[in-house]
Amino acid sequence: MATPAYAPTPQPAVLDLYALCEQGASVAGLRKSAIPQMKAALGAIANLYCGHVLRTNRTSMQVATYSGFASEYFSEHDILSEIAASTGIRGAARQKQYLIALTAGLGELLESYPSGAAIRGFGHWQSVNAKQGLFRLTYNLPLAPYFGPQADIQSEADFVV
Amino acid sequence: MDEASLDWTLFRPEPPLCTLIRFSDPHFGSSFVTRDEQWWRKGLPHLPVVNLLTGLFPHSYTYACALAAAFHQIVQHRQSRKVPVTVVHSGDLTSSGKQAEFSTGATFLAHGHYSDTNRLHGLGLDKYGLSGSLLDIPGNHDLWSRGDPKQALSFSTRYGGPYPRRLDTSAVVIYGMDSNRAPNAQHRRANGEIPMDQLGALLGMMRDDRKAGRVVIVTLHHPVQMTAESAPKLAGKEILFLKDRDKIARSLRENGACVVLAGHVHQPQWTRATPGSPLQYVAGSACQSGAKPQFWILDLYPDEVIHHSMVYPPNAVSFFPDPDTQGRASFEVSP
Repeated sequence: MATPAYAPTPQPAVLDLYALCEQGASVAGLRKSAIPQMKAALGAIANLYCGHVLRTNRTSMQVATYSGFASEYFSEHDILSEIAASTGIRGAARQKQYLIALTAGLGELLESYPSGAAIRGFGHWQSVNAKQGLFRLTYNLPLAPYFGPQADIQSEADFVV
Repeated sequence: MDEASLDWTLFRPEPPLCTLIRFSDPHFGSSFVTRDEQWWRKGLPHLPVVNLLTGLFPHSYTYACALAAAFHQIVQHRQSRKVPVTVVHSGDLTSSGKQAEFSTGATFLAHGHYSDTNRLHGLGLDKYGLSGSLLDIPGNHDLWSRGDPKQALSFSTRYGGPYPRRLDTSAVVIYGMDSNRAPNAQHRRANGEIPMDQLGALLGMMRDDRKAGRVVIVTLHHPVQMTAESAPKLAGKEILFLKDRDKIARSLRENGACVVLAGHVHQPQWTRATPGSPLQYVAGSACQSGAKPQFWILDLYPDEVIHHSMVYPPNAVSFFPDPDTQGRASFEVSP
């Protein structure tokens, strides 16, 4: 079997999603049984950003977030809609509770990583003011590092365009 | 292998004949977005009984959107390198064969679903010009509602015969079989059967391809080869199996099938070609709730497959190539 001549760029630190959800659930007063739902919601929000990067023909983007995961591209209402679509939760208050939980969990875990850490599949996160839900997200298409050097050249060309 | 890669140049300098993106068992429910907070979404996936019940779960919105996101990245990469892409879906498009479920699945494949925030989630085969490059066959779940004429119409519209279906690309020939023809008692146990006339027709069609030295791939819902360890069992007895699978595997091998693609058991695996069976890839469930989502990327060459298993790891929110499963497997094109 051939051995790759390069490896995807290593991430400095990768957050433990279970710990993120567990800590967030504890802060927001959710039961542990909500953890799979929280993870599904986080995945749905990540897909939202993935779709945006794909539509713009880029492989990455940098954005400042508020309310945890909202940004200039996606309002808090968009984020709550994704929570609803992925979990089936209808009530706005409970949707918001999940958003608070995810934001709090992310903020708590990032306290240990002043230079930021990655959510695998959802880019690199750095806390700006976690208590106010402010973060800096560097989103990279999850598969871009796996396509090899040619893919990097292509992505630069895309940026020029 | 330490790190995974979707770059074929690490294995061979030339591009593949085509890239097969092949998935199975998405089990689409009647609504693309999750409309209700079902009780089983919370605790049940953690209970030991889950293996017996997972077949009942519909798709997961999050997994389906992640599948679409991964699909777009792969197709855009391969198409930008002029590598033809073919898509193979090997059954159980729906959770229980209802009209609304067929509609959800068909829309996801061809175009996409608009979410409440007006964003499109789907494979978008139409957009990529891949509608004619899809081979789609039925699974046992797609037949669950066949007793209701209204629901059965959806099945026959999408999966009506004749079989085998044939997808002829410039590089390969792919045949699709209907392995869900078992008598009712067996069908209820999710066991499969291929009628002799369907198998005979396939072998006859393959004969010409074999003479032309073409790469022949056969897809069906039920695997033709299972190891003793991986075969699903209930009370010590194997379940979900294909009747006479050893004979069928041998016939396929002897008549020139290079690769077999299957699904059904929700356990991704691959087995090398042997004198009694072709090289086989079994896909897991692509996006079912409670499952460990998986699909395959197969870069096809005239003499081998470079394969990548795409998985949704527990500590991630996207599909990634599994470094432990990436590799290559050779096959012979019969003279």
